[in-house]
Amino acid sequence: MDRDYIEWELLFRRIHGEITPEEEARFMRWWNAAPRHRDYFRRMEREWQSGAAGCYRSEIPRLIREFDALMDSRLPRRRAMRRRAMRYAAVIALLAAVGGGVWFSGVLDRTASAPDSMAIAPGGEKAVLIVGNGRKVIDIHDMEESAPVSVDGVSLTKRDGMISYADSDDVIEVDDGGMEAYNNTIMIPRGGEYKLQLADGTRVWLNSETSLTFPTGAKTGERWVYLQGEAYFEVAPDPGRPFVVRTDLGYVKVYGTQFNVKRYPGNDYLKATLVEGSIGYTLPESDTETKLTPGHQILYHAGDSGPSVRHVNVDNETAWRSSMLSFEKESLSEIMASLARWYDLEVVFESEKARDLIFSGSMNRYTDFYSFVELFEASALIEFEIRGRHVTIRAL
Amino acid sequence: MLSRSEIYELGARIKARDREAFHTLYRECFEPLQYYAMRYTYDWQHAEDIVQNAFFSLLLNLDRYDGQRNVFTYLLVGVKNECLNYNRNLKIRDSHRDKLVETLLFSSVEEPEMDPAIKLQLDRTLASMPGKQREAVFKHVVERKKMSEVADELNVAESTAQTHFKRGMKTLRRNLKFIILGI
Repeated sequence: MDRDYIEWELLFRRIHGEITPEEEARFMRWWNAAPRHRDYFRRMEREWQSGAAGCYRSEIPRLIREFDALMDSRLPRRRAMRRRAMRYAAVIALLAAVGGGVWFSGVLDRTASAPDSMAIAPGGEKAVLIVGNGRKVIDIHDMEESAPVSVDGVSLTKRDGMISYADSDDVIEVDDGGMEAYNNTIMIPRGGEYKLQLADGTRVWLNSETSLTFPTGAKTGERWVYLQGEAYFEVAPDPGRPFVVRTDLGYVKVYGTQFNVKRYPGNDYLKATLVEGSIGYTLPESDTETKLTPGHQILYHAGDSGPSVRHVNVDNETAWRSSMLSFEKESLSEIMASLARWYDLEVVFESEKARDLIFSGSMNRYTDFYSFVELFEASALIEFEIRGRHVTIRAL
Repeated sequence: MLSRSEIYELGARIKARDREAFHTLYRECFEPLQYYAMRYTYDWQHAEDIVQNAFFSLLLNLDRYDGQRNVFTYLLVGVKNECLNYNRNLKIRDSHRDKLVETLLFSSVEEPEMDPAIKLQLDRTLASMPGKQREAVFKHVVERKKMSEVADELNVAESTAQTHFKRGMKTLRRNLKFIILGI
């Protein structure tokens, strides 16, 4: 442990050019050990070279308001402290854990960001709506809050991060040939998330890089949507009309329920996780339906003869919906795929070893990306190199 | 800064959860503590977090504060521990307390039970600076006055105050180097 430590005085001398070759070697070992070491040294160097510290003022009134809010709240002590950064506590807790997989808890909710050059902002409410059979694209940002607009003969409203389709009284007769005319698609870009309420009252939470196509206005026959990406469904019960989530890797048929479907084109699998109720999964071009009970997940890899069913922690599988990113014994490559979608990053693994490291844990997904980097670096022998949106990961 | 008696009166009111007393504490103590934390993190935003957490912790653990102790010192202990953790996490050691001296010098925060040796180091550094330079540096860095205000108080042009400041910083760096490095 001692070998890893460096004297502050040595850093000071490095800045002033008073350093021996052996010390330089020691410095380089420390410098190479973690990006946060390099950031710290650069900040220290800047401070010592320009020397003008006396120009920053925090907004004291804002800090007082935060304090008053805490004084007036009745939050239990532990929760209240999470309001602000306790990141070093978290990192130290991590270091104390042993083995390959490490549990990190959601205490990281910091508002402070890493140095500007390193700040990678999380995603937010972003979506576009494609209506009129692909003829018209509406950026949800351009829609007025709470003001209904008429699209394809249906009324829809944006409110609190959700698009709601009104349940119209007119029954639109749908024949197979004309059905296409009424399809709408909502597309969520990388770094986005959005909510949708269909005319029947079904609610859908859409994750980053996801598109969902659905017919509008139809009031008879099967209810269906076509999904690419990840979405959580809270299906409005309607015993007469089953609800089907179609994907290129099979159908998930629903019997009034809450569940999550993950089917990203970049991955070779589909995952459907059942929270409540009952769903059934059918492979493309097959008649065999696999039924699922709550707390279980269907996993189907493209090319396999059939799906497998396993027990999972549903909170982890659906955490993204409540602003959390949770992983349970997932490989770093899988975790990075999720983070890349949310933070809009390009990720390259320089060593295969790093790809297969297994992590568990959860963290608020509105924290900046750098917090994740710190946790990964603190709990495994890996290093992240970040240049703009490009992230390179290598084993140490 | 508050006088000794004001600080003690404030402590008693803090203990009684007096909201106004906390507000006064913010206005009087937040900045010096943030300057202190900033010398450890070299990051204003992070320093702000550390001090805000110390205030939160004081409120949430009010049963552990007895109302008699200097409340500024009480907060400083929390901030200092967090700063030491910060350094530990960066794998930085401060065996000869050079970092501490640098911090005290730039934040003008007084340690409650200051080691006489550190006090001596501080005094030596300050004494080594010519008067005008010292005033310019301390009015600007420690009292956080704008350069125009510093110029007014020194009764010189702003450009002259600027020159005093720059030279002062240079002297400070050189002398601190001398004191820290002994060369």
